[in-house]
Amino acid sequence: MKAQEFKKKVLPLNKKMYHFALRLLRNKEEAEDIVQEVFVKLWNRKDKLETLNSIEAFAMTVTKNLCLDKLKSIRTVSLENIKSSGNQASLEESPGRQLELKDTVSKVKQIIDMLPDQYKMIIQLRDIEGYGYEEITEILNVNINTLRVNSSRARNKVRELLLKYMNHGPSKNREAITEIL
Amino acid sequence: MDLQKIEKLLQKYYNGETSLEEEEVLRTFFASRDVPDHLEAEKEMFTYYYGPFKDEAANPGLEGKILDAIRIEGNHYRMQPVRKRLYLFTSVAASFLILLGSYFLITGKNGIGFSLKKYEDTYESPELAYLETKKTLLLISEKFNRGTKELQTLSTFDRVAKELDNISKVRYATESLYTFSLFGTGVRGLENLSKFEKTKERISKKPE
Repeated sequence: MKAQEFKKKVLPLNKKMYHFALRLLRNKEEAEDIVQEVFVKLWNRKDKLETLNSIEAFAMTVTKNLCLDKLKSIRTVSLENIKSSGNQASLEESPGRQLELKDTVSKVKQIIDMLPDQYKMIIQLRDIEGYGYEEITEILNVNINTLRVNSSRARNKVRELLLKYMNHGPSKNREAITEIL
Repeated sequence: MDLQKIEKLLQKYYNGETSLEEEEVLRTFFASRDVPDHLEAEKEMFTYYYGPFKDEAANPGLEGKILDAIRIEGNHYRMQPVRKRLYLFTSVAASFLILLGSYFLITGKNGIGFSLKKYEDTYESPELAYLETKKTLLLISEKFNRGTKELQTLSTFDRVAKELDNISKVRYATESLYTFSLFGTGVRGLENLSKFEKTKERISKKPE
């Protein structure tokens, strides 16, 4: 694949890749780094790209793998920090913080952030980017039945949490409190 | 779009059974303003999925950064084959040198000092040569014998080891000492004999 073709076919994928990475990593700089890394890998393999079934699925797969590796290393490190400092407060604090949604950011976004990685990826790929199930099975390396089941679970989970926060959410509570005062 | 159809689609959606087209129908429905209250959660959900967040998460500088990263990597990439070619060249050159060197070494066709020369006769008469060889061999054997003499002291080692064998005799000695201790009990037995003597004395005194 020539440079010109690479620019035309592969480079435009960067937005989807970046959004996917951002969804998983929740950090702009890290997501950027990952996307650049993926592109370097793709560039080095540009002669073999044409033999692929779908360049896009491949690019997303590499993005996913790098993000999950990154998350694994971050999580091990932070776990070690918690262990070594013996800081109980930070452990108890985070679920409490999770329960309170910020008003400035979309509730749906914050809810997706709470979901397991697998659900996050499915929602991002299917509901947001609109990939077909076939492609998603390739990217996530799962079979179609598992994917449908997990997609159903993820969607129901989002709805469940959303209803919870809409009816009994802290912001509602705060409103109620200000009314009483 | 009537509500019943939407609710049916939603049911399918939550079961993970909708097609992309059906999901598109849901998206457009929830993008419209008049959504009944009980579907508020879905409205929020689909509005988010559909979109404004994409602008929030936009990263206009990313494409340039990617191109930079590729360019830097590309420079590395171009350098690599040069290094590889250099390796190839040096390995070919080295093996050629080895071949060349061994050729001269074996044939000895040159003036290089360490080449194996063909043997040439240095003595005129064979007898003289024979004597000279004998002399040399004798010299060698003499030196050799001197070496073996030194080794003979090692045999004393062997002798010492044999001496050490005698230690086992100590065991016999201790066993015989044991019989000595039996002697002690025998002596004590003999003491009882002295009682015998006393009664004998008494008996001999009685008649008086």
